[in-house]
Amino acid sequence: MKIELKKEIRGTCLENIDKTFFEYKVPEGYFDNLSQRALAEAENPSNVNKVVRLIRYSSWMGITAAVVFLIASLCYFNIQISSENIFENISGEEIMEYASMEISLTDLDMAMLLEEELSGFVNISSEAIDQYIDDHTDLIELEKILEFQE
Amino acid sequence: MEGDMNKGMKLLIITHQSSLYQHIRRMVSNHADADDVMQNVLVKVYRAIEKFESKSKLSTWLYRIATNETLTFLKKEKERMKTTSRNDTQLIELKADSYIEEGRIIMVLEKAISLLPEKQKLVFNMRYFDEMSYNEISSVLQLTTGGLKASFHHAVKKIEAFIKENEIG
Repeated sequence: MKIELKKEIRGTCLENIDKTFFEYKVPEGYFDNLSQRALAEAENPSNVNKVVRLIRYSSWMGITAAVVFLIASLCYFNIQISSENIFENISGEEIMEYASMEISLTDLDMAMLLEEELSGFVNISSEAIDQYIDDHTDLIELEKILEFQE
Repeated sequence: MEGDMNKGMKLLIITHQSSLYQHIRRMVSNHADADDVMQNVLVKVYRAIEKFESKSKLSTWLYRIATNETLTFLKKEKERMKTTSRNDTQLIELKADSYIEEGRIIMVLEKAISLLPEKQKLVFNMRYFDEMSYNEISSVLQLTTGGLKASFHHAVKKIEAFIKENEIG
């Protein structure tokens, strides 16, 4: 045992424990063919989980997003300014009457709208999604998740 | 060329398989789970070996992949346990696992370690069993050495308290 470690556990019950008892034994012959099994699995193309990038980022996408955001912001503020003028010309009674109108969007309509929105993701397998999460989650995040769950 | 790659890979696996297996096995509850994780680790290593940039030691890189794979596995297990309540069976498996030497002290220490939070357990195993330096553990877990020292110290205290509670030592 290294001297530094010995110092750290000096005086504790761990000091005199024979660590060789804690070597896990493996089934006989397990390590003999482990490398062969691993290589066979790695070389099998059917085992390759293709990582499906949900979004491909590039510099032009960033620029486009910024431009769209700018235009949307300008439109929003214009609408806000103009809507103030519009409401000035509408009486309170008219607004109340509009608000009391029944809106005919049923649960089915909402479900259909959602289905259309999500249809682009239907063909992505759960394995691909798992792989994507696996490849894009680092240890620190996992630790936080695990600690949070405890 | 591919033959050389496979020979190199086999040599790499043979050199590190035992220590990697022990590292994974200490975190999971049975051999079957350790084997699953081990296979995933080796497949990932095989596919990523060309990207290894020698910025860290090869063993550190292997440990990092093994640690990440183990944590991913444990996370999935926790998700599964939410629906199948495997907590009790896991403890039974721990005791009944025929690949570990019998003895009360082993069982109690095993249990004490199993009760540690994941991060502490990892740090404890790497420091106590693998006798890795704090710098090496820091490279694997991407945590500061100060934090690791504190984590190991807390783990030792908890284990000692548990062992004393169970009148061993």
